[in-house]
Amino acid sequence: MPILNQSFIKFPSCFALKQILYICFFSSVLIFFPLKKSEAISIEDLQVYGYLDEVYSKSNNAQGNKNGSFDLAHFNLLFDFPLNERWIVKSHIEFQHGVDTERDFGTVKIEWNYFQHSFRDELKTRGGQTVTPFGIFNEVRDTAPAFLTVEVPQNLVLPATRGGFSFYPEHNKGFTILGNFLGSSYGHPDLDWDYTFYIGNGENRDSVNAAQLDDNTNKAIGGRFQFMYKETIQYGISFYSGDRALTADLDSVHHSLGSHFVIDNGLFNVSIEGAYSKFDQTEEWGGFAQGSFTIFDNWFPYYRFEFLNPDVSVVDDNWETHIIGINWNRFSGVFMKFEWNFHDRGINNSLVTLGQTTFNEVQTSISIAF
Amino acid sequence: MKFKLPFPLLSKVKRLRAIISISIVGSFSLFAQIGICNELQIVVNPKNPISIISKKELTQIYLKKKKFSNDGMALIPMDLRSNKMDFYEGILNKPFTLVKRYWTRAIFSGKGTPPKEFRDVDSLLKYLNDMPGGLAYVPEGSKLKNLKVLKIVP
Repeated sequence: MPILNQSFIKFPSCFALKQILYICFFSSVLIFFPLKKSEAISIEDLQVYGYLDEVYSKSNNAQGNKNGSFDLAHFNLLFDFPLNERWIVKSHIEFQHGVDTERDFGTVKIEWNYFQHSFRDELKTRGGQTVTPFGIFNEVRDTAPAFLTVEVPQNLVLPATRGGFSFYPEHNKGFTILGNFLGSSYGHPDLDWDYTFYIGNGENRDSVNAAQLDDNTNKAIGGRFQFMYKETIQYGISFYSGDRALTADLDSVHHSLGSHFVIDNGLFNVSIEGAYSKFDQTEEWGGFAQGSFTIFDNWFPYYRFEFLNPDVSVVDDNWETHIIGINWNRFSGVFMKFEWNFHDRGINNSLVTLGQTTFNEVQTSISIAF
Repeated sequence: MKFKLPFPLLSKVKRLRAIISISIVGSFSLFAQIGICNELQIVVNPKNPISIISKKELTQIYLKKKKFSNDGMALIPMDLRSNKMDFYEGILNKPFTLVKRYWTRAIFSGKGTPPKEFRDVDSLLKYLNDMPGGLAYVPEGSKLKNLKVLKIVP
């Protein structure tokens, strides 16, 4: 009796198995949810939105903007082009800091650029570049009219400005499935929930365009699940897992986990979010808590505390920020903000210079959505 | 010892007058509000099979949380500029400022865009006639051709 030679039966590697699973997953989506006849919608349905915001900031020492500066922070344009009632192409182009390519100032970038097909409320697919869905703020990110403060929590959204590393890539280049379930359709009228799950190229070296090719050996996956109770209380969890190329031949694993909680009854809002990340051998965690309330219908005073520990193994490198401010929704689409920031860093934080661990910063901005 | 206020109080007659005035103005505002609500009706394209809709479902459709009916038809809500605030506050019981905030966040996070808005009833009804999944609110007494009026239940 011949002995079974292992080389005859070749099991797929874990990586190959993952690829097969991805293909099966997306194929099954297309097979089980076939296209339905769609009604045509004319080009008149092209929708254009945009916003611009100008910020003035000044700090009390060289750790911030000591001279005080005006910054034409954003001029962004958003386009929605519905092909029919199930297919839509969406694009968001950002012109940052008064872009001037002749002098290499500012940036122009695509925040998102994708098509979406809606099979039903519970199942939609997106292909292209999207903003990574993680926590409360990453999807709104720079869009100042959509949040109260002058900036979103930098410790979670842009931790590099706090001496840390990104919890997740800003954008996902790949495929996303998402959907929302309305409790009223399932016998739980007070409980709605939604999900987003994505697969993409993940993080590349700075010199390699992740929107064009992937320079690491594995695909990145991530997702977010959110539960909403009585349209007032929201709880969500987010995750990200992928490889990041350190060199042409060496990848390192990057995992992140986040959780958020929001209460918003129209009069007051409390938002809390925390995230943990491990990249290579470095562990980082951070979070924020924000409270705000509404007075006279269009004034929103707020307070936020941000915290970041950029490297758990390093002593005294934390960055804490207290923000107190007010947002005045002057009239529809126009928001004026004024806030005071107090930053307190550990002496070992990589961005501390001149031994100045603290600084105060005053920021004011006007944001106009159109 | 009797406590004296440093400023003169209104006399009893004046107080009574003030209470009556406030009551009249208050009740007028209340009934006026109800009147506005009753003046709007929800209309759909006749191809739409539904004839009754709950306020909750209407809210979900207008906030685009529910984009498809149970049988898979795409639902297309429409706004009428002149009656927009009356509809959201009077019928959906949603503060208009909250609705605006909801859409600002939705637009700029890529989640969605508000319902298509029309300046006048005629153009809205014309559009609605071409949209099988269309749904709109119009003032009572509007000339409806081949459109179905929905009954709203709480």
